[in-house]
Amino acid sequence: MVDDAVILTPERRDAGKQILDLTDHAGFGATGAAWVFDATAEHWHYLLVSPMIDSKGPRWVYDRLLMVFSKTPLPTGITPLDIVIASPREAFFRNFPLHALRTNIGILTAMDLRDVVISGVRIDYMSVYRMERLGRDTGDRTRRFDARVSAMMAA
Amino acid sequence: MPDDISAEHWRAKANEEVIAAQAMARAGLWAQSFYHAGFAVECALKFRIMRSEGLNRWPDKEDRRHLWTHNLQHLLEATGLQSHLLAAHESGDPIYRHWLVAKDWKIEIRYDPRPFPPARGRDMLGAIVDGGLIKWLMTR
Repeated sequence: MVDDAVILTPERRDAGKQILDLTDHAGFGATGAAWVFDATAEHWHYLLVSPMIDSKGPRWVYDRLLMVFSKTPLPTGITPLDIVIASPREAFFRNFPLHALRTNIGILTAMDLRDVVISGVRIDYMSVYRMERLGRDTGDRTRRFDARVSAMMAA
Repeated sequence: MPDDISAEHWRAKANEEVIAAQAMARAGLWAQSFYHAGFAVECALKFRIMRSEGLNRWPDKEDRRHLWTHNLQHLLEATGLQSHLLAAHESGDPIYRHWLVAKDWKIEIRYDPRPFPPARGRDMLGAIVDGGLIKWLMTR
């Protein structure tokens, strides 16, 4: 169980918003974004959920994200090693209780979850910026991301 | 996990898992290839932890609970190699990108019955074998 004192600092919360904004600007269009804290390892990671990790593979995705970060740096103290990219096909995201974000069940605020288990995966603490069901626009999303990264690098 | 597990056990296991990942890839079984490839990275990291700390047995769960994990990023932090990877990024060493490709592996993949995306399996195998990630983790 996570210590009640563990909360997202305002600085980390702002950094998470900045990461989501800069990836959105680059056309990445994450279907999910969150800070996740592991109490045992005392470790934070920033989660981005994208179907491109399946359709194009992690090398294609990370190569472009590194290009984006070379043009629009990550917030101070955050590196790509702090970012985890996950697939929306994982049971955790398919079964993510989107209703909890709206009904205040098992959550601390409208965005934060603590000590929950979803599809067998334990979450000590999670601050969610975005969590959406996967639509049918994976191809469009991929083309948009590729085109915007190319434009950023050409600028 | 046996009490007397040694660093050499992890090294041998890492090499076996690489062979299994390659065999599964040749059979077009990408979920299994991905699973074995990620487990190879986990074993290589655990070898590295034991070797760098001079341990002759894997630590008890009660003593070092954070090492009893399948999370590759958490294990990397225990190896102390994170700063080397960041330095690799600065110098343009491709090992950094190979780690990014591998680090998001989750052991839960073994329970997923649905078809697995080949691109993820190919990238993972490319990172750990062709990219030399397993060798780098065990010898750096």
